[in-house]
Amino acid sequence: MSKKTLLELVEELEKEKALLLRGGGEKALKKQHEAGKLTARERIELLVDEGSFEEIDLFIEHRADRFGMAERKLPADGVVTGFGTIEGRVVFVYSQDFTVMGGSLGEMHARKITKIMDMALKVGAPIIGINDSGGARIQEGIDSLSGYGQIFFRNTQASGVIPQIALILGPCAGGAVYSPALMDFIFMVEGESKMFVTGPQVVKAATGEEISAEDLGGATTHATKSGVAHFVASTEEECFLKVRTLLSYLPSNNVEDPPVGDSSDPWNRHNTPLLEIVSPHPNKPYDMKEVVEELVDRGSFLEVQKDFARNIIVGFSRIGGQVVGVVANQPYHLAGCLDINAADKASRFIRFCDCFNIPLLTLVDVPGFLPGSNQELGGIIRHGAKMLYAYSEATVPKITVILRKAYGGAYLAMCSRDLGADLVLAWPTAEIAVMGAEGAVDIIFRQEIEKALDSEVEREKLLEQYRQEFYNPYQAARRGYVDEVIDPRETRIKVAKALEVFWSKREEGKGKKHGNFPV
Amino acid sequence: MRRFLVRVNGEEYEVEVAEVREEGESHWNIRDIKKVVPSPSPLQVTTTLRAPMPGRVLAINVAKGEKVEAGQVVIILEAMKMENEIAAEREGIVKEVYVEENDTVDSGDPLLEIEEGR
Repeated sequence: MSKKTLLELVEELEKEKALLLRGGGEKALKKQHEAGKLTARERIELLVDEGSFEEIDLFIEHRADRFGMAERKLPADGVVTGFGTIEGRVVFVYSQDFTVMGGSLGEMHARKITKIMDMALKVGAPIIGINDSGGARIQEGIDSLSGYGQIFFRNTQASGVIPQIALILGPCAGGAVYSPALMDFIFMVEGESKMFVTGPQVVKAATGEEISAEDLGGATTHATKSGVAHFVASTEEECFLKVRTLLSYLPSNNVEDPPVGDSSDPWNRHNTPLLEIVSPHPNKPYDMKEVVEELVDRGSFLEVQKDFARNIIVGFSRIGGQVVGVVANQPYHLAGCLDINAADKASRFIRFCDCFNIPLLTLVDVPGFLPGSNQELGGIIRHGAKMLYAYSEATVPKITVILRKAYGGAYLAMCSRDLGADLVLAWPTAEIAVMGAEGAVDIIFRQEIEKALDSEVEREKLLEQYRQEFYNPYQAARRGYVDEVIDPRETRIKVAKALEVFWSKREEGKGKKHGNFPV
Repeated sequence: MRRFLVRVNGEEYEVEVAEVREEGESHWNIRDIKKVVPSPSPLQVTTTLRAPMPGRVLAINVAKGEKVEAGQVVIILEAMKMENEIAAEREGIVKEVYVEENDTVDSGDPLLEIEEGR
């Protein structure tokens, strides 16, 4: 029996907590600030609703006893975990504390993370991981490695059940990168975030190649070249705001519907500016982003991976307050062709939307798959297949609008009727054909052209014939591949109605473990 | 003296050659070879505008020495049934035009060089 009073015990508790909350100590915290970084707990405070955070497992201690670890005290074992709210909705958070042994991950550090992940999964709430760590705690050997493995396993179990969001706010190297990679969205901060499997020193030692950490794994690199980063912010504060914005489009789990936002933008607004934005001449480019922004609720478009594979646009938006995932070809880049990176980017987005009950709006203006040996040798067959699979597999409402070109395999890949589109709308400018007129005529009428008195005149005549036949939406509409040919100005209205009608669509998954997605 | 942009195994070199006349015969001597270092990050200025895909140069809207604004369309490249607009990324002066109208170019071929204006 304690001789102390309850109040005295509480005082002791507070003293102990205060000590632990100092993390790596004043000096280390100062150093973190001097590096332009916030501390693990400051980050959480800014991320979640003010005063909503409850930290758990503050008293966790490591159990390592070798390499001088027995005497070392590591407050909270270098990671802050707990739960709070964002816009009143529950989220689970972990934030690695770089001031405690470089945020290195040991057995108990990992156990704290897996515990919070298990809670998030039980509750059905998003998990947000803030990464700032030197990597595995080498002193703990294979226990540390096992820790990573257990996190990866849970990332996979949670995939498609709760949204998983990774913030890279410092180094994230080696095996550690694979937890964010298994999650749904990665946020990086310019000049601060670094992500690589093998760092610049290892690259140099192994291959002799000299490359800076920034070029190898900085925010810009991953946002533009590798496609690893989905969102980039210039400061940590901006990053937290972006996470909060993203969450406003997402349900907390796979059985919830996405939150319906307020919309002051009338659902039946006419899209008159579209007549100016999109040229009726199929060879004139335009900025598809302007089309998207005109169609959706004003200011609601949140683009994902905006600087990667710019020939395709993906992102979240609202129409009449209802969340919709947009996939659109971008004629401004690579003529809007599909290529390896575009297929990869779009497929992952489509699958995310399907996991979380977000309807898909596909805007089509695609001349085909990008030709070239680097595409073929790079495996465009494998990668392009992802799009076909992702669209075919998706059971959420799928609305497709064909603006202009829809040629060949790329037409099919852009959520065609045959891949299960629920409603296909087409503008009068739509051209739905196996291929462009020139190529088609040269194949179909090779002999006629050769035999003709004047080959050029004959070819021109046949070209015109082909264009008359296929360079319009009516051939497809007559066969029911297109449900409605619409006035472009009524696109928003038609899409809003379609979303409303198909909202109640329910399709159960097929009774199989899972398909063999062409990864 | 003439300058060439040479591509070897994906690396680019700027080669400066000068004509040398000796005993009535003339030949070209290499004066300087400089490796063209690509800009360290893609968000920074790319001074060399390159063809994003194989195609045909339909129009060149600027000439050497001309000033260009950021976002100004400098070349129209016809490719994949589209008149693709190639725009200057930043304000600057056109230092070199590597192509002519009707030239066919491959993906990655240099089109023109823009020196950042001050």
